[in-house]
Amino acid sequence: MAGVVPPPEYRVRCLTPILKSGGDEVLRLVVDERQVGVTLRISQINRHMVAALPGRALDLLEIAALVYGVDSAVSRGGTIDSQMGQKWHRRFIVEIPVRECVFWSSPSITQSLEETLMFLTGDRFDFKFTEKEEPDAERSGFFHFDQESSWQADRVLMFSGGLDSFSGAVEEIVDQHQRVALVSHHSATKITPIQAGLYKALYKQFGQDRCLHLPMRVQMTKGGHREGTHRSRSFLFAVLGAITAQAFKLDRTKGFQASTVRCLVDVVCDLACWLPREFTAKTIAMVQGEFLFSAAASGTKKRL
Amino acid sequence: MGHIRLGNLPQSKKWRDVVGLIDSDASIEEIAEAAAKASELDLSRASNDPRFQFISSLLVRLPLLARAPGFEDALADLGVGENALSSVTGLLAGLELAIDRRSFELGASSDAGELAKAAFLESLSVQLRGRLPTLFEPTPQEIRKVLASYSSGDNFSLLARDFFARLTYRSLDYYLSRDLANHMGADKRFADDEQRRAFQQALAQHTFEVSRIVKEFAGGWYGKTIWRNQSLDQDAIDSFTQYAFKKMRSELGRRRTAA
Repeated sequence: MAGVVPPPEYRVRCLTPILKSGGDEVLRLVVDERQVGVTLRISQINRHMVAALPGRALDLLEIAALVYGVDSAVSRGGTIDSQMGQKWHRRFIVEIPVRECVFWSSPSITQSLEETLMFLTGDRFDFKFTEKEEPDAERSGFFHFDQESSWQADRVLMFSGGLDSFSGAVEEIVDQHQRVALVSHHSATKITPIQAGLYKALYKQFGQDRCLHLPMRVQMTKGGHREGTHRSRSFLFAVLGAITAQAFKLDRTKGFQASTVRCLVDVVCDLACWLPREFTAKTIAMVQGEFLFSAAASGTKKRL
Repeated sequence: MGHIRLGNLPQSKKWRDVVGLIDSDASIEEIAEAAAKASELDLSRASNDPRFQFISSLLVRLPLLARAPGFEDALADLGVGENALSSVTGLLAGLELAIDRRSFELGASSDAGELAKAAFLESLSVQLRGRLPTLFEPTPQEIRKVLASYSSGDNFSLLARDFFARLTYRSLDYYLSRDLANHMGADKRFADDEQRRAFQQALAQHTFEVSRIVKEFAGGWYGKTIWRNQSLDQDAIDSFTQYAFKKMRSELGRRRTAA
């Protein structure tokens, strides 16, 4: 009888981030002695908001970017999934410096983080947190500040550039009379004009006071990309939303995906590929109930 | 979110033969047998997978635990969580939590474990709901009683058959579904998606019929191992699942010949 092969294991450590000439912050990681970079750029949040963000929220942002980076930097073995996906399920042993080491090192928080990531990505992350040497020096490296303004969002919406989130934004603005902050993530330039076009349509129709687009770029630097499935992207997206909500002193984000869920589930199950797990109630429960908002919002009510 | 990913079949001769059979309008029986042969090594590894073993252990032990005193404590020890017996859904969610927690502790998840988990929860759901009252929500006592009823040899054989039928279908579909879309369209095996779905339903029906072989020996194994020899341990359960897989594969071949 054939034995069971253990999952491939990778060691990950962080180097000091660098600031590129364009102003983008590049997180530098070493994955099994191979250096990769993740560009992080968050636009439209003003300086005042960033200053108010707790250290653990910034830690969470960096953890999410790191997870996205290592997820993209290591192949899952290609589309044949030989030996029943033996290379699909990976194990990452990660050492990362954080601002609030005591908080992240608490066994319940570490386990919640690792279990959530295992559910979302199929990968086992094993974190070791160390104290960041200069926590304040890098506080705003990845934020591109907008002009100081007093605009305040009532709701933070996840805005992917698809029909669901667009119709959700319309509903919030028209039916609920809310001012909405629209959080987008892009890792390639293809989706950017679509997101921008949809935002333009919204503010032309309803006025600039009703919505604000916050495009966020988290992207692998050249040569680092070896895996395109991006199972960790939903975690990154959720973190970006949670941090934006915290910046606006809100305790929730909203995501509209229901209208295509049914269709996608049918198609995905029929084709027996991997169900996008951000749609599942379990993900929401994990994100809501466990740690994400407590980590990002530190002290505000946990809610999604 | 860009997660959708369609895999490809391995390029070995056995799998190329399977693709050829699909192309040639071969019968469900022929395709199922060829796919079972092509995936034989992978599936034999599956029964050694510790996540798979945990699920097969639940399949065998859960009815016994339900019939013994201290069932709630036993569920808590498994990590199923509080109030799991408040509803069938609650029990299934609790079991899924326990299985996921086990994978976490083992340091990795696996496709074999995921397939077994889905088959196990689906079997349990169908079997329990089939025996519970439908007009009112069942009480925790009723759920426990029905679960305990599978600790007899005859009833365990029904549960085991259901599990292996679903698992075998899922493991065949795990591979075949990657290629079926390539056989859709004009002058191909499936003129439209409806025909492709019909093929998958026929495959599920075929594996269910084949699984009768598991029913025939599972009850005897259960009675002998648990009630007569009182020698239930993980090795015994592993031998049982390996034998069940072997019988399923040989039955897939036998049925094809008979057809």
